[in-house]
Order: sequence, then structure tokens, then C-alpha cells
Amino acid sequence: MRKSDPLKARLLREAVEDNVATISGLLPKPLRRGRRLFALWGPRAAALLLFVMLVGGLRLVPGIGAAVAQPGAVRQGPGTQGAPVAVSGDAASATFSRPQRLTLSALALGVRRVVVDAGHGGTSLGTSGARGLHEKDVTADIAERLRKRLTAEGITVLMTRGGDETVSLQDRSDMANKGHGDLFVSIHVNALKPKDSRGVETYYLGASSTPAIDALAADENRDSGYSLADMRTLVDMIYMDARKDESRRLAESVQRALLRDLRRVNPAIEDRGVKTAPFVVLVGTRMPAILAEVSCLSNDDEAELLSGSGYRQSIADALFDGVHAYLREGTPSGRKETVHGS
Amino acid sequence: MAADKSADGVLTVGIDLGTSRSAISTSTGERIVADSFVGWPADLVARKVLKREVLVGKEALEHRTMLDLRRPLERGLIKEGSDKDVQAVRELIGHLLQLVTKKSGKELSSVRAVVGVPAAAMRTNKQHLREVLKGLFDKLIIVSEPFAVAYGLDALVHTMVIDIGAGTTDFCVMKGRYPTDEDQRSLTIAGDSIDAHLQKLVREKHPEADFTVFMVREWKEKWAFVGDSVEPVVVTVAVGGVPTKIDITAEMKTACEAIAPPIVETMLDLLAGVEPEFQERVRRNVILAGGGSLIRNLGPKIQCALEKIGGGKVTVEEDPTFVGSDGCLAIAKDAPDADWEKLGR
Repeated sequence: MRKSDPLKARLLREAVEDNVATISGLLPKPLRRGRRLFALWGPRAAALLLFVMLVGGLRLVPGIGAAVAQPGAVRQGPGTQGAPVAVSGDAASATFSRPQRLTLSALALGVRRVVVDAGHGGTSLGTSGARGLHEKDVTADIAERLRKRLTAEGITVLMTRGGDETVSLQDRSDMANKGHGDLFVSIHVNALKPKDSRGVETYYLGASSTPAIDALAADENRDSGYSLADMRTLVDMIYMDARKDESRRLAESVQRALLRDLRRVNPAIEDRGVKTAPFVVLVGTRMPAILAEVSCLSNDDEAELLSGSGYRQSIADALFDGVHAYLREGTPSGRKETVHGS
Repeated sequence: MAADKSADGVLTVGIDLGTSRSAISTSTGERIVADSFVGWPADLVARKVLKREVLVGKEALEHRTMLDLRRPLERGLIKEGSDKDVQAVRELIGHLLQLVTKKSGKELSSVRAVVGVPAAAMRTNKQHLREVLKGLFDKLIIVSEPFAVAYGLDALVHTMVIDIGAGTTDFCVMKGRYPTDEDQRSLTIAGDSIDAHLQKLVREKHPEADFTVFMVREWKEKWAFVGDSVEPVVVTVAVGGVPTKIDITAEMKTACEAIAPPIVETMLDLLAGVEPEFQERVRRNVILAGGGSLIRNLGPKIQCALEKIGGGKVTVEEDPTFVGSDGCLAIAKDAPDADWEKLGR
């Protein structure tokens, strides 16, 4: 470097400072410059917020906004005393709230509310087994069992659907956000090829790594109403989010518990790993969120097991154990965790 | 430029840790690139045949049927959740270091390294990488890959670097400061997504053909193009065990052109965030780097997109293989001792 090149010298100094901050575990620069940024942007942000609130208010009035909400349509888990969750009516026109960047300090707050999302429902059957068992029924049953376990521990549970009803993917994540959920657990059952494939896999948000996961995500995201470009932007935003680490940790904990607990009743179960995929419900939620494929309905043995209530209870127990272990392990600290390879 | 420190046993290196290939440039003038693959003999027989504990790069690819083969980087970052992949990254970098020290033939007392990572890598990703690389270097600086490219090319003000790798396409607008989150973007649309797309298209058109993703990657590297093809793309696949030639020109064009719209979209989006008085200067200084920049006609196609907003100039970097590692090396060589000391061990 030429001695007279002050620009390079400054850039090098900033690069080294960034590394020193990384070593010290500090947050990225823009987040640490809160005060200066607030002074600069605070008034503008307040004006923007006011505008968003005004527009948001209009959108809640039927006939004015694009999203037609149903005032008073409130859903919460049976027996729970959680905050009411507004349910918008028109799935196709539901407003999608862009995810917000979270800080680690926000994630360190205690978990009080778990959103349990039973995959599919109503006209969306999900996958079906050879004996006519539908994914939507299996997930609803497991979700209800999980709700009971969590409520017994004093955790408030928000259910994204109470019975056999069609709920759009956007509405599910909206419910979770508006209900101020602290964790989001989406329950699904897998369909795999070849038919002898079996096992459990748990996803958190990220880009998919294989064509098979692309196909699964496309399947689960069907009718979401989002274009590929929307998904790309949203995934890119989330990918940089501190929430990712917590979602991964939750996914690892749940995957471990599913394997450990289910092996007792399903010794041949396979560890299909912790993976990332751009599922819409995971993109839209603002809290640590996972999607668990708890067994394979396409596998005859597992379909047989899933038709029995004992196995479904074991799955609910395992999900509970996974969430419980995650909570017990405490707040994020950037520590290294062991995970199942994907 | 800082004095070459190799004489006193201190080796300074720049490393572009890539999803598909990793390159190293050193203060002793060595430049080496290796495929980012690491494999361990799958069983006793393989170990006996290969007579090695671990194989890296091209060798690993060549013997992949006998190996537990790992491609430890995903989107430019170490795959999460696998100790084996962590080990593979260490083996890969250890291998590169071994090659350069062997070539230079000098005893080393310490190694200082600058490693490039994707623009969107989070601080936790960098911490993880730092942990994984512990012990391999005496001092380590991690920087955003497109920043390293810009630094190496002396393009530090009013320029945009678009670095198309295998796992990510990284964008960085240089504004005369160390890039912040607002100045950078990463897309996961990159070389790997072309491979996956091309593989799917060829599989659909020729369901009877037998080929692997490794073959698809080779085809892409040899014939990738957008716009008009200069020659038909004819490749050899196995059909029922018989080598057969198939024409994949249309599929190659479709797969390669699919990455252009998101790249253009992101470039325009980043440009819109530049102060209006500097936008024209940035538009005239767009640098295309990384393996993806070798896709024929991609530079002109991106330049065409700039026409709609007043025109601009896209320059395709001539040496995409080493532009990242050379940039990292330039940073490593320029960083004063006092800065290295701040980083501890």
C-alpha cells in the first residue's frame, strides 16, 4: 500500500475493527449505532409507522383494504387463555407482513407462547396414505396432543387451526405474529420416494439445498400466492436474521427428541436430519420457527403406526420434549451445538 | 505495498474459500486452486487401494466412488451441523497451505491469512468460521468476498462488484468505506443453481440418459452462455450403457439465462440505494467477477439492462479464478503489524 493512500488505510482499519468486534461477539455495526441512527431516522421512522398504521387500519375495514379481515373472528387453543388472534378471511389477499430484523437481546426474552400449527386442513388434505389416512387429520390430532402437553406445563398455546378447516399459509404466520407467539412449531407428515423411505426431518428457514427439498417446499407452499421473486427477497432478508440461529437450535432440539423418543416405538426410523427450506409459514413468522416432518405416510410401516393413537401420542410427546429441551437450554449465546447431519 | 514477510518465516496468504473451488494466493507468489471437495476412504478396501487417509480436491472427485465425499461449503459458508464438514474445511485449507509451503520450500514460523466470505455472512457465521479455522493460522482476518475483489482491483469508490460464485452471487457497492449491510447483498442464485436447473432440463428431455451432476458442472464450465450460441452444445452421456451424443444447446441457454433476471434485479435495487449524484459513476463501474462471469455474453446482457436507466459499463474481470484470493492477499499484505496484533491469536 502506498503510504499516501489514506482511503485504503481507513478501509483496512475498519475491516480489522469489524473482525475485532466479531471476536468480541458484538452485534453488527448498524445495530450498535442505535442512538445516532435514531437521531437521524427516528422522526422519519415515526412518520412511516404512523402511515403504516393508518394504511393497516384501512385494510381492516372490509371493502376498503385489500385484506378483508373478520373483526371478532378469534381463535385460540381450546382451554388456553392466550391473547386473541385475529383471523383474516380472504386467504388470497391476505397482507403479508415482511419479517423484521431481530436482535439477540430480543430473542433472549422468556418463551411464554408457543404457536402450534397443524399442517393442511379443510380442502387441503396434504399427503395421503395407502389406507386413506390424510395428513391433515394426523397433524390435527398430534397438534391437539401437543397443545395439551404444553398447556399442562403452563405454556400458552395458540393453535393456527382448531378443527378441520382451510387456513392459508399467510394466515397461519399472520396469526402467529399477531398473537405474539414466542415459538412456532409446524407439524407435517412426509411423503417420500421411493416408498420404503422413512424417518423424521426438521426444517428451519433458509434456501433449500437439494432439488428434493425444492420439490417438498413447492408442495407445502402451494397456493401461497407468492411469486418466486417474493420468496427470494423474503428468504434473503430472513437469512440474515438473528432468528435463524434460534430456529436452528429449536430444530436441532426437536429433531433429537423425535429420534430418541420415536426409536422406542419405531426402531427402524431414520434420521433425515435438520435442514433448511423456504417454507412460506417459516418465512412469514417473526419468531423462531420450525417445520417438523414427523414421519412418512408414504411408507407402509409408518402409515400403519400413524393410524394408531399411541404412536401419534409418542410424536406429540417427542415434540414437547424437543421444545422443552430447547427452553431448558436457555438463551442464545452463540455457542456451538451438535446437530444431526442432513 | 508492505514488505514481503516470507523472508522472516511469516507467510501471508489470501484465501477465497469457495463452495465449488477454493483458491489461495501467497506473499511468495504462489497461486493454487482446488476443488472444494474432501473425501475419506469409505471402507478398509478403499483405504488399502488409495493408501491415503484423506483426499482433497480433484483427487477426491476422481476417486469419489470409494470415498465418503464431502463438499463442506454451502453458499460459501461451512455447512452447519456436521463435524465431518468442519473437519473437511480444515483438511481443505490444510491441503492448500501444504501445497504452497511445499512449492515455496521455506520453513515457516507463522501464517497470516485473510479469508473471503459471502457478503451476507452473519457475524455468527464468521465466528463459526473463526472457530473452525483455529490453529491453522496465527492471525486471521475475515472479509466480505466482493470487498476483497474491489480492494484487489483498487476499485474502492463508486463501483459495484458482482461476484458470481457457485453457492452465492455477491453484490457490493463500494462507497469508499468498509461495506455495511446496506451496501451488500447475497443471492443464492449462482453456479450451483444453474447446475441443478440444467440437470433437471436435460433429465426431462432425455429421461433415458445417464449422467451425474459432476458431468453437468463440467458441461456448464465449458459451454455456458446466454443470448445467441456460438456453437451447438453437444455432450456425451450413457444411454443403456452406450455412449451417446445429445444436443443440450437449448437447455444450456435456458438454465444460464435463468440467473440473469435476479442478478439484474438486485443490481438495479442496489443502484437505487446509491446517492443520486453518484449513480451514474457506479453504473459505469460494474465489475463482474467469480466463475459465473465466464458465462458467455452475461456481461453484455447485464450491461443491456443498464441501458434502461441511462446506460453503464460492465467489465468482466479477466482472472476470475484468483481475483478473490488476490484481493484477500492484497489486504493481508497491506494490513500493518499493529492491526494484526489487535486480532490476538
